[in-house]
Formats: sequence, C-alpha cells, structure tokens
Amino acid sequence: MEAYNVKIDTFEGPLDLLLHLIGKMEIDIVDISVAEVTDQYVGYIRTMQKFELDVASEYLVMAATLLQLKSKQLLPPVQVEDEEVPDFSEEPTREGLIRQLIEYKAYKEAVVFMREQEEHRLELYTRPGEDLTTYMSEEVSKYDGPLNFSDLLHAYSKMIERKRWKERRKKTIKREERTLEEQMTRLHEHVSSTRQTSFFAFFVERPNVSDLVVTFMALLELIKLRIVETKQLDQDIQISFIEASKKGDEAVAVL
Amino acid sequence: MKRLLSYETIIEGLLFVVGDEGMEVRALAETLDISEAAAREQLSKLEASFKSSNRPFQLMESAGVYKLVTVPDVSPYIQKYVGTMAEQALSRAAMETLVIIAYKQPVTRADIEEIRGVKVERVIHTLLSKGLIESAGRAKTIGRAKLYRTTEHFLDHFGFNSLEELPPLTFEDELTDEGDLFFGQESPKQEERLEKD
Repeated sequence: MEAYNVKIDTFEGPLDLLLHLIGKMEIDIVDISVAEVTDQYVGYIRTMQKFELDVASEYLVMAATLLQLKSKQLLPPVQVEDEEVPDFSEEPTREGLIRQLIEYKAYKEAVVFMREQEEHRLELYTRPGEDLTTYMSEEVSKYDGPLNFSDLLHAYSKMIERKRWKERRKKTIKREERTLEEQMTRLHEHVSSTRQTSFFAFFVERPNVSDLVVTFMALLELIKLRIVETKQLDQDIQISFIEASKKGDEAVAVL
Repeated sequence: MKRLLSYETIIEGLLFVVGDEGMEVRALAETLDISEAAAREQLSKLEASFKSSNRPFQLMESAGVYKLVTVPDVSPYIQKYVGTMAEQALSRAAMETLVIIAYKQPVTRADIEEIRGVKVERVIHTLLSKGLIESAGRAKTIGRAKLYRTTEHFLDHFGFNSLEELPPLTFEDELTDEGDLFFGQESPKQEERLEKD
C-alpha cells in the first residue's frame, strides 16, 4: 500500500480524492482503468479506516460505486429478458464516472481562478457610505420593487458595519472603575437610605456594560448575603429591594 | 448651484461620500445634470487622473455601480495598521459550491451535490447568510426543488462587473463527441426551468 500520507480533510469529497489518485497515477481521466482506480481508492479508504479516521459516508458510497463498476467489467454480461428487469438508468458506468470527473475538475480549476480574483478584490478597500438620512427631506420616494430576505439582510449588515465604523478603531482597555466590593457598599448605602428602590432605577444611569455587570453582580451578592431582599411587584421588571433588617451590617463587615 | 468644480472632481466627491454603496452611472448623470454618456466619459477621465497623479484611489465597477476603492499597493499598510486581519476569504467547500452556482445558475441543491459528490446543505446556508447567493424560485421538475443564483454582492466579492466576466470552463475534453453531448445542451433546458416563486 501507498505511503501513509493519509489526510482526508484535504479533500473536498470522493471526486476530489479520485482526481488526486488519478493525478498521482499520471494518466488522463479519459484513460483510467476502472479496476486500477478502484483498487487505489479502496486502498486509500482502508488505510484511513485503519487509522480510525472518520470516513464520511460519501466516500463509502463512491467506493461501492467503483466496486460495482469493477465487478461489472469482470463478469460477463447476463442476458435477461427485457420485461422482467426494470430500467436502471441510474446504474453507474465508466463513461458516467469519467464525465463526472471531467466536470468536477473543470469547476475545481475555476475555483483557482476565482480564488485569485477574490484575493485581488480583498486588496481593495472602501468604506461604508456616509449616513445621509439626517439631511434628507421627510418625503422619501418609496421603493416599489419587490423586497426579499437578502435585501433585509443586506440592509442589516450595512447598518452594523456603519455602526462599527463610527466606533473608534483602537480601543484602550481601561482598568475596572468600580470593584465589586465598592459597588456593593454603594448599593447597600443606596438601599438603606431610600429603604426601597426599584430594579430599574438601579440601572438607569449605568454608563457602560462593564459597569452594568458589576452592578448586577453586586446586587446578586447582596441578595445572597441577605442584605437586601427582593420583592416582585408585577410580572415586569418592577422588582424592588428592601434592606433586610439588622443582619445587613454584619454581613457588610464580613467583606 | 453654480458650478465651480469640474465634473470629474464632483464625481470624486460624490463617490467619497457614498462609500461602498457606490453610484450608478444613471444616478451620477442625473445629479450632475449631464447625459449618461458624458458621465461615463467623466468617470474614465477621473480614473485616468487617479493613475497619472499617483493617488491611492481607483474606480471599481460592479454590477453597474461605481465606487471608490483604494489601490492594491495601499493594502499592506492597511493590514499593518489593523494588525491581524480577520479571514474574509471563503472556505474551499464554500468556494466550490459558489463556483458551481455561478456557472450553472439557476441550480438546485441536488445538481450541485451531483457535481461535488458531497452534501452541500450547510454550505448553501452559509452562502445565503453571506448574501452571496439567493433563492431563485423553484424548479419545474418533480419535487419543485429550490433554485439558487448568485447575487450582486457575489459580483462585488470577486470584483466582477457582470457574470459575463466569468471565464469559460475548460473541460479536459478528449471525449470530444461525448463531451458535446454532455455539456453542449445546457442553456435551453435551464431557461425553461426558471420559474418565479
């Protein structure tokens, strides 16, 4: 058997593998011998299985097809009466296989060209268009044509892109402004001074995400330590907090 | 509006503002109040002046839309500025599938699977979500399978102006007589399969 350079991941499917094997045999696709190609292919699949690599079902289907082709060539044709046999027009033939390989190879070559094309295009940069909607008059002429999913998708990704562009390119990571402990103390003070406050009121003035998270964690921590109690007033976010009796001070001291 | 600037300069200004959305020749012509032919002439003048004055921009036409892009020579510096670049190129599976769709459109999933010899359902989903392909109605054949075709974004992704810029496929065609049989009869069949959803 061939040297064990087994790498199924590098192939895009059974046809790709077949082309690779045919290439190694240095023969033209049209000149392939089914028997030889089958042996090579099945050998390769066996080796992969020996290495306990997962072989996708498509590869096994091709192996079966090849074996069927090979056996058909070895066995003399049997004459059967026409009426008894349904027409298996799908039955694999050598010509069919060759045609498939030639077609696949043509697309594979087109892929090479397209890849180059893509690379060139990726070297050209543009920028998201300026948002001119603020300058537009109220009346915007309606678009009459049909809109479909990809139009919506396009509009959405444009919007995201624009938003991203407006954010600063370089970001400085700032030290955490408020520690969890600080925020807990602050929250505790807030609750004890107002006696009762709503969930929403806590978060209204939080400037950024990390601050929100710290505040929320501080709140959970205070609940866990039974410093504040929660009361849900309705199904919405109207959760309110009340300072739990005296126990609170001890708990804060623990921190 | 009193015109103090040359048309060419105004076009440059307009294209700068619209960015990657670009402008069609018709829109440029209407904005400048000149004919489309004149607008086209101004565009090629602009293109030439970018070249001769060694500026970092060039014009790109994709699906009839003109946009301002940087020249490839700027690319290494942009990459250096950004640091590591996110991989924007398509995977091999996606690329193979997309190429087949590009050449055979409108095409069903089964058609693609027959050519590639592997399942393509997930790849198609990826290509749809990237906006490179779109649904093109259903085939008239039994099962009414969904048909797919490439989008304008596909053209832009590869820097094509139209599908006609795709080079013809080359078949290793020593099977001359049979080759024609297999690949020569595509177009009429495809046409009749097109049907709107």
